[in-house]
Amino acid sequence: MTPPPVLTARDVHKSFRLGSRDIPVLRGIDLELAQGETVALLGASGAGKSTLLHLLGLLDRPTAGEILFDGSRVDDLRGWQRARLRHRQIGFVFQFYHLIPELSAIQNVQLGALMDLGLGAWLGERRAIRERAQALLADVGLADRARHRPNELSGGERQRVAIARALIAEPRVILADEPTGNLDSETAAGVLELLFRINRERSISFFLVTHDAGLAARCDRVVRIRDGRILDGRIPDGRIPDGRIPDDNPAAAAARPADTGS
Amino acid sequence: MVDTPHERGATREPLLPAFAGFLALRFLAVRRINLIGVIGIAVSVSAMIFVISLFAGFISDIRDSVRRVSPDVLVTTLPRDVDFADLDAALTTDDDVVSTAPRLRHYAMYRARGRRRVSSSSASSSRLIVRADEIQLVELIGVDPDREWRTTQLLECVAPFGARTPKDLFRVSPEQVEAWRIEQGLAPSPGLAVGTRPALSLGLYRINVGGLEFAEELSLFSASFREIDGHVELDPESKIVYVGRPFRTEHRVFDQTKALLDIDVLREDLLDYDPSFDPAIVTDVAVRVRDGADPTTVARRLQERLADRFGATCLTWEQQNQVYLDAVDQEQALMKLVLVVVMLVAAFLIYVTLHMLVTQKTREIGVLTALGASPGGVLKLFLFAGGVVATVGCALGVGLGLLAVTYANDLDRWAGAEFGFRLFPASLYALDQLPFHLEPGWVVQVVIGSLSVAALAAWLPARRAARFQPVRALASE
Repeated sequence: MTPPPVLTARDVHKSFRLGSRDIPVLRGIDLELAQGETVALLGASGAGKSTLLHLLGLLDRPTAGEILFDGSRVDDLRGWQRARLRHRQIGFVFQFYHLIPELSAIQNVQLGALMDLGLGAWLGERRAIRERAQALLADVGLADRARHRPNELSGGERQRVAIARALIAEPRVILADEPTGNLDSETAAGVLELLFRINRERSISFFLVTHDAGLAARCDRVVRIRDGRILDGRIPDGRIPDGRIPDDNPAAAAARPADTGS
Repeated sequence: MVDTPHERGATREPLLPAFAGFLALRFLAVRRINLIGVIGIAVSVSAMIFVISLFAGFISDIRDSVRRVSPDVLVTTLPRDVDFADLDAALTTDDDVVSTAPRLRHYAMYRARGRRRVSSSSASSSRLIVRADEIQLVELIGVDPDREWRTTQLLECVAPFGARTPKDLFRVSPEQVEAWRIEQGLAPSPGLAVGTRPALSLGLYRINVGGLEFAEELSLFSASFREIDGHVELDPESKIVYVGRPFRTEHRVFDQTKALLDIDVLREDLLDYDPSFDPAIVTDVAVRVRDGADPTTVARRLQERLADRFGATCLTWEQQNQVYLDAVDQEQALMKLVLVVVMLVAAFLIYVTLHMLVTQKTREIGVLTALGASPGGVLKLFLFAGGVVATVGCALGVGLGLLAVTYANDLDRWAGAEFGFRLFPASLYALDQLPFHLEPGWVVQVVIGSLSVAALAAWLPARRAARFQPVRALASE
């Protein structure tokens, strides 16, 4: 029997109120993300990419429709329940890293493990959490930068710390909002290599919001969004799709590696 | 597999999430502005402990001094011609009355007859020095020494100076009088120097500022109204008495305005009382009640018993000094009000610093939410930060307050010696030292009150932080 998608958006609508008017941003999104799959979400500014990412990450509630995790509806959970699910199952990587400036690199990574832990439990597990954070920093190539504050790190190093932070709670899904958008091309390539390696080694699903066609081309599947609607990428239940890149995006098609198959 | 369905029935988040403690301490440590809140709480807590201890000491001293000069029950507002024997008989029928002592109040003036040494130990008291020819007004209280000794603590405040019996407290010997005259360069007393002399016991304060000396002659002037043939006439009297043993009750008003003497001297020498046919007049009767008896109950019972016959009023020691004690309580209440305002200012500082922290950390709040912090967790983060500020402030404040209470007298003396400045000059407050009385219960109340106010102050910005929309918080600059 085919396992259910890890994350599903079912006829999701989202409107924002502006004065007396409702501004629709998402207009009936259907989307599925299978375990271990990488999906790129492409779209112009204002198309609704980030809004969809926030809904999938349970940071916001849809106006209509449902968000499902492992086939169970989760958008209607109470605030603390959604927070716990987010902590245990979903990791975030942001364009601007969003590290806590008062904390060192290793403390930023540790912070990702402390959200649903009581103070007493933390005191008991402190050493283990620290060792795990150190191992993750080593995994992302920053073993010797553990004690540095964010302002002492380069952009690429900060993003690697943010990735390690997203990994420490061992999530099954990572939602990345333009993870290379603030990096030069060489650094961005390094970060992407890291993300895809994590995907392969840990079988974590990735949902990447990006403008970068090259990055999109390396994903299992590309989903395009325009005016709050998915243009393509709709998939059959439970199956990893073929990752077809739209024909009207020659740059992305050119960037697509030959071995992805189509 | 994810236990999503179980999240619906999952146990709630921890009481204090680890991230709250982990992050709050670091947020506070790198922002020196948070020291303002700590200092504010520390200053207010230490001020509260200092002032409350000082007032508790003052009040305790005042109550003790009031108690010394006030009998358990005072029978007063008596008719002019009442005989003490009748009153005593009526009072001692009560099982709770142990003893009684007659008192006779009367106003007089005196003038010292010796030379004055116009000197003073401090500049501030020199204004109070009495010139040699100055006449002083005094309220005389005639007491029966033996009865008074058995009934109240008043005579315990009189310096004994070799007195063997209570009656000796109000007498000086002829040798003492002659010694004073010789010292003054005066001729010996005319006639034979035999028999003891009546002495006026004055407050130590009055003796000091007046430069009076033991056994010094005083001219005492008094007058009373006398009705002759339907006319009221003023009947003046004068009498030579001697400066007797000083008393010090610590009740400042009493010490500065009253003088004690033997009730028989007052009756016979100043009021022309003839013991062979005049009633033993009194203006008040001091009553001592049995140990364990409630003075209020006894006073009420005596009042009922004496009202019809003597028209007397019976007052407990607290009722006798009601206005005085109420004024002290009122001062203490006002001071507490001032301290509460100080505490509110400190709480406002905590509010402002935390409000700034929340504003500056809006994006971090969004990040924490994305990492899995619940609104409740965010609330606890900032409450914890406020709690740390308040706790550190309280700990510092208690330490400072205890140090201030312990060393205030030393500091005051040192400041007086080094700079000639006394925070609480003895001449003004009639105190040897500041009477601190530290009550642990009060310290606990101050700490609990401070923490509660601080928690309330921290709760407002913390609630604001918890209500941030994570998406908007993440987008903030």
